[in-house]
Amino acid sequence: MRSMRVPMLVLKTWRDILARKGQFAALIVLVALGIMSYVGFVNAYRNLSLSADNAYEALKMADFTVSVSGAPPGVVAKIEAVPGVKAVERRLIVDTGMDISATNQGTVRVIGVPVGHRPVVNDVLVEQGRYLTSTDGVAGLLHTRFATATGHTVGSRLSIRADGATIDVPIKGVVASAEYIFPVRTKGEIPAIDEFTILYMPAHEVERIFRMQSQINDISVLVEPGVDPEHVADRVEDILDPYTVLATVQRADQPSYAALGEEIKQNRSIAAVMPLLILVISILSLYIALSRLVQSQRGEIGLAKALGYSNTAVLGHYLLFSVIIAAGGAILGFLGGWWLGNYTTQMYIDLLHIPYLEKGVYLDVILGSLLMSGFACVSAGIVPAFASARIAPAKAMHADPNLAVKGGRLPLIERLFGWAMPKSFVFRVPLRNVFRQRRRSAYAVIGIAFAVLLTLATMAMYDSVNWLLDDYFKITERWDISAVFEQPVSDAQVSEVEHWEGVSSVQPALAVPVKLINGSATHEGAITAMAPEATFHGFRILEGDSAKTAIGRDGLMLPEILAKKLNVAVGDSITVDSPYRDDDVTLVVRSITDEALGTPMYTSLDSGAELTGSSTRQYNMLYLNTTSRTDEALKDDLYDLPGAAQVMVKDQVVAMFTDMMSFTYFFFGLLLAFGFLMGFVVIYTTFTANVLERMREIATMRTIGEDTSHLAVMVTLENLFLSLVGIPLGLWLGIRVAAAMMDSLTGETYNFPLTVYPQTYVYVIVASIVVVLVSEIAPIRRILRLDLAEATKVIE
Amino acid sequence: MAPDERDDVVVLEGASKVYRMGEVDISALREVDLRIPRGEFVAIVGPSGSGKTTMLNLLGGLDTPTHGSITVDGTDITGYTERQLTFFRREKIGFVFQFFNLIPTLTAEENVQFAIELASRDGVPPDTNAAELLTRVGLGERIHHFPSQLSGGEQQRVAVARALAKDPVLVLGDEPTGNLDFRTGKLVLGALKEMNREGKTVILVTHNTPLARVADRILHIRDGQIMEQEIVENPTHPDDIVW
Ligand SMILES: Nc1ncnc2c1ncn2[C@@H]1O[C@H](COP(=O)(O)OP(=O)(O)O)[C@@H](O)[C@H]1O
Ligand SMILES: [Mg+2]
Repeated sequence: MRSMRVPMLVLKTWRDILARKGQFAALIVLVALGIMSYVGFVNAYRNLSLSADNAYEALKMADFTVSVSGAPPGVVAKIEAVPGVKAVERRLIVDTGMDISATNQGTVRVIGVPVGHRPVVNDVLVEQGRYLTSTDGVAGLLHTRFATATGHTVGSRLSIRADGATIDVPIKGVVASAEYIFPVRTKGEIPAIDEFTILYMPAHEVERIFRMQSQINDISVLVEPGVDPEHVADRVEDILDPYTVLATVQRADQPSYAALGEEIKQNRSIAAVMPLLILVISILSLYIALSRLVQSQRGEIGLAKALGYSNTAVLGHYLLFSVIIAAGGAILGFLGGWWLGNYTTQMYIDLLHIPYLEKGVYLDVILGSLLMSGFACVSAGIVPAFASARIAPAKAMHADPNLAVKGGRLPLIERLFGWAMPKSFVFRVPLRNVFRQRRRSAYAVIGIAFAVLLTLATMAMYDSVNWLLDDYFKITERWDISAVFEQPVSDAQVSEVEHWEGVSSVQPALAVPVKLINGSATHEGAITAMAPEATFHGFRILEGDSAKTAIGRDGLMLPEILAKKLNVAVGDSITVDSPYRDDDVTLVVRSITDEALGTPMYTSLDSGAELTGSSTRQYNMLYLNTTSRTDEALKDDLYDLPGAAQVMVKDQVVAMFTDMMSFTYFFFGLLLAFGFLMGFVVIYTTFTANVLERMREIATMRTIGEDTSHLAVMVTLENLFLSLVGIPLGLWLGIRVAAAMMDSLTGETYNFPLTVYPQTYVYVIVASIVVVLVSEIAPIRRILRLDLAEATKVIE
Repeated sequence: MAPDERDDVVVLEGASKVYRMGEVDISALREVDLRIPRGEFVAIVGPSGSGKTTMLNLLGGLDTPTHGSITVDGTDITGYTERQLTFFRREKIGFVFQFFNLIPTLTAEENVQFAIELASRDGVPPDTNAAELLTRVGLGERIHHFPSQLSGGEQQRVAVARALAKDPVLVLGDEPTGNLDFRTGKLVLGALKEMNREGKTVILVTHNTPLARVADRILHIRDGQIMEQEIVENPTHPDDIVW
């Protein structure tokens, strides 16, 4: 007899599930969503960080790089002798123009590399063709992303500018590189894939072409394990001091390394937050559904116990539901997550060409997802399961006391404000239902709030990015075309450009690489020197003088982040170390600014000249405003000016930024979908439980003449009452979460404000209400199908 | 009075109800003919499963007949849609169930008021008052209590008041005393009898024969057919019932 019992209850479990297919499917989907987001994001994050680590390791990514204005190659031997140095590679790096097409030009970074052997630091991964040999002559290895974007392959040629001449460089190989996984020159720069690239050429050819015989300007160092690179860097800087150290960049500050780090960080934070959020919702929904199941089966439970089933057997029966949902959720979620992870990884491969990227399977992630789903479901099921075990056989036959209104009191809100509320029962009944099972209502409110939270936080991030595109590039960056030169631009050239067709104004400026020092706090970056009346950059002054006054007083305008980092305030003096001078220059901070992108610093043209050690004003940048749509042609002409290194058309920058955001938008879309699905499932499970439980009284109302449309209104009103609390709560939490997400992104690269457009609130509220209404369709259909003759007789 | 001039509230002609249970047809009611004049108190008695509830449900518009016709208060409701039946129930029928079926979130007064609200929704509001009705069934002191604070008998008297609230044409009680003890059962029955004295037509289903003797007429039904009709010469006063 005993052996028959367990299978009987297992059979009953199965039958109960079949009887509630919709609800169980919804719960499994919910758990699966949580697991899916966990597995998907963690897998993508693992793949990405593993590939990055592999690339840095295999391609011998430098621990730090020192750029000098020009040093003899022999200095390498001295650096190699520094304790802790493992390997040193000397390079000559020149940024110059290149032809992208007949009419379009871009910037190429030419890097001279050894040909007898592979570089000992900052090696490349040859994806196509081969590495350079000593017999190649003028030849190059082209960066894979540019090659893919522009159709260059082994055998094609790239035209680069050198000293006014054009040189066709045959491509011998297409390569990936650890230091240019993101092909960017400065931290926080937007990668411009078909505008900027890296070309590796034999070192002696680079020296010859650019007439820099026996010169190096970049020293990459790899240190021994366990050695502090900062320490080694100090010693190396001492050695290089005679050759003007322009900048020392530690690996963490290396532009590509930092950008990839940001990407990985983003994935990790989503992987940490999303699954948690969804699993909490799963636990709540599961708890509601299983409690409802136990309540509705009190009679059966009593009967089973009267027949001799042990408490443990009954407990096991109800826990089995949790286990089945956990298993279903884990399997579906893992498969979904695996797909999501692979999809994301494939996007990285397709879009970013990240070397060494593979789609891994991680045992601990599989185990983790099983544990998570098991923990979520069992913790949700344990309370109702124990409740089932506690039910006494005799009592179980009576009506469930939970269904009655306890205490016989009106809800507080009605006692206080009842006089102001509609008298109609179409309003009062749903209002009281909200307070009937407070715990369940609280869960529904939390569920709605979390779904709204997710939706609003996502939309807020989206709005903020849009603000950057709409507002920042219009209001802050007021130029149409900018050009950077590697040699001074004369006043004559400025006025020449001014007279070009389509140019309405030209504002010259000077960018100087500097190191700001205040005690032990330092910052390396560039100061832009400009005229007081310059308008190419819009300022938001937080403290101190206006731009005109500050620049007019030869003062320094410093972004807030740097002011904090350097611990200076308006009126303080700060030491500025310029590579062009042996002595330091002192500038006075005149204003603290709010900068959304990067940390640009500004000063006057006189101070700029002082920093370069020149007695006259100098320019190396031009900001153009244009009248007609001739930006492409103007860009071409600018590249033809001597020393032109980089020309940017703002519209193209915005387009590239939008392109780059496609990834972010993909995640935003995913989060939105999750938010909506979650909201749907929570509301669906709660309201289905509510309607199922109240079948008899709904039938009674129908019997005494209530029509189905009014009943639908009552269900809707009840949901709206819950939404009335859940939606504002979710909006409030959503803004907080978005602000926290924004905070975690904020730094020297991004510092743009959290922006939520008013219409976003409207969209979120409307969308939430639509989800609420759609989720109640199924419960309302149950009301319509109700058999009155049957339902009024049922003993609950 | 000639038969066709009689003011019959209920006219059943050849009313049948067949339930399909998978492959099997169950005839719950077989070609029943019945006329009930206005103001009569009718009791339906019969063993369990004989078709009493089915007949009541057809009269109350909770279910529709498979064959035959049903006329209530001069209207043929045979072919009514679900929606029409809803309005029919709202205006004309007062139900009292075995399990009271009060709305647990509403007080006694509100349960009664709910029925008044419904009946007023698209017609003339009935000339009734919830508190007064509750006083009449002896619950004047308890109008603000919730169902969970009332005993079974009290709940059922609220249900009677609710049935009366809309000033119905027909009051239908399906074993309203089935779940009550003797003393409270008598109180509920007294309330129904009182309604009948004030002119309401009452149909009471019971399987308890002594109880049925409060009625003017007793219909004995078996296997879905009326086997025997018995006119009660001197209906018992509910207070005098013994069983
Ligand atoms: N919804 C239904 N489906 C199938 N059979 C039903 C249904 N309702 C009642 N019956 C059957 O019809 C017959 C009469 O039932 P009912 O009118 O409830 O009897 P009573 O009220 O006299 O006990 C019974 O055999 C019962 O099983
Ligand atoms: Mg019956």
